Amino acid sequence: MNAEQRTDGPRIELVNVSVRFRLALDKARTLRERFDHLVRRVRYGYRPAPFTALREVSFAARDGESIGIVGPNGGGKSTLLRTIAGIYSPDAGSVRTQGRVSALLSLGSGFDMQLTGRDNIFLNGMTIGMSAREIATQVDWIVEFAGVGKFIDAQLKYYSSGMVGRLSFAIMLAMQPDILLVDEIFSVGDLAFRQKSEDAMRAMLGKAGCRLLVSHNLRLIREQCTRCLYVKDGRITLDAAPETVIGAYQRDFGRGKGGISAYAPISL
Amino acid sequence: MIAEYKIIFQRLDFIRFLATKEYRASALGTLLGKLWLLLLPLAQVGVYYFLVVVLFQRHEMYGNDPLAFLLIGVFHYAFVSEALQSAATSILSKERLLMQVKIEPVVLVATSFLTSLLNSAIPLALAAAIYALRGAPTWRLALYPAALLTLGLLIWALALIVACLTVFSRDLRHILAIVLRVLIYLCPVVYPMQYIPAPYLAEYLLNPVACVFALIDFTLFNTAPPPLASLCLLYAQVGGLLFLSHAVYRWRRPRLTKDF
Repeated sequence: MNAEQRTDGPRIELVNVSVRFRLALDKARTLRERFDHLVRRVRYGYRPAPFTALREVSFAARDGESIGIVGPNGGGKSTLLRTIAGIYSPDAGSVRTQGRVSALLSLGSGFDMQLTGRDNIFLNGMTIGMSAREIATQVDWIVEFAGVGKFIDAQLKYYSSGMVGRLSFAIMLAMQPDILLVDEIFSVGDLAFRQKSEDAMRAMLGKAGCRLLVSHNLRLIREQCTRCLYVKDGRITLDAAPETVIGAYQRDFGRGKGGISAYAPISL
Repeated sequence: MIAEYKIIFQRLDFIRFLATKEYRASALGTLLGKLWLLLLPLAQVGVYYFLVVVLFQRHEMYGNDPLAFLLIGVFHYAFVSEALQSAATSILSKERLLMQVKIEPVVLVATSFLTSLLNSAIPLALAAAIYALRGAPTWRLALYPAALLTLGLLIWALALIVACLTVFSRDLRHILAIVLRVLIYLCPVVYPMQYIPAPYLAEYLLNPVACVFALIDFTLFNTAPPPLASLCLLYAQVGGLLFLSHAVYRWRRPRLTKDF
């Protein structure tokens, strides 16, 4: 398994990474919109200003680290994960990852609803670079763990959202990535499944290279992470122990300011 | 350019898997299944045959076998049309996938290209069977694979350009549909190249798709080859378009996932 191949260097290394987007208002997807933009530019001298989602972000993560990421909505947490996953290209700086990266950014990440559950297991595995043979050895475990049984050969569009979530989660666990990126997807399935996920996740953590977890569930961050990043306005404003970062976060956006509480709908 | 092909090669398993699934899914839940892939171009051949041969009595312009000529031309053009139209949505339609996992968009374009090849396999096999039964193969037939490869490279280059640009201008899909409907009459698909008046032939063959179809006709039928200058220009155009397509891809690549 890849996750067992440890490395001495950093698994993830970001150096002065900036990511910019064009605002939806400034995007021209049709010829008419392009024409409108041209007119605004020529007649009114309008120059679209890009939105900077990440500003000169630098950090490194090593094997064995479990890093929590907290911060307000729109602060750049998900953009940071997507940049590490290679989904967004940085406009400045460099991103270097070593090993197999698996990103679970939403339920049913990378699923094709027209394909069967079994096909989607192969599809997901192949997207992170596993061979068909490697995936085939994991299929039975995934089916059993996700509890989808005979539905595994039905098209995914006939699954309930809980089943899709369980299948996503089971695939992520089975793939044993070197770098695991998780964005707020922990309230998956019913109580029995959550308990099962919790145990499996704990077991996997011991084997995973390193893990980045975005969550507003501060108790989860406290319990599961060895380090925490506070991402605000596209910058890492604090990189320290979870307790320190959570304290700063609560001071900035605590009760009466942003309504942050430390309740946890589930604990992993 | 090599970097993109390296990625495609590394992801061959994935490309094969997805293309096969999409090929199977295209006929899923229909009464005639994959026969639809054959019936649609066949209906087009029927219309042209009726118009040109039955109604206007111009069968002499095809030489010995108008049906074989029309089948070969229309079935090859069906591949061109399908490959370009599916390429136009190959990146756009996988927006959700691209936003969740790291996949080089060029892999999705390659998948749609392979799916188009699979979809065209049945019509082309039928055309080959009819040609084998009714045609009169000569030594020129040995050049057919080279002509087909030229067509494939040309369409791949155009597909990559179309796939990238459609993300930034959605109108391109509709413009492309119109262009493809006009292009069939600007290429020797439903008529042989000899039908073009000699003074206009050089200009006519400036269109690389027309030139490659003239080359295919030359390898399969008793038609004149495109002039050497036009052939040289064709290969220069194919090389240039391949280079351009990768330049466009690299230029647009950083914004492909950011501009959905």
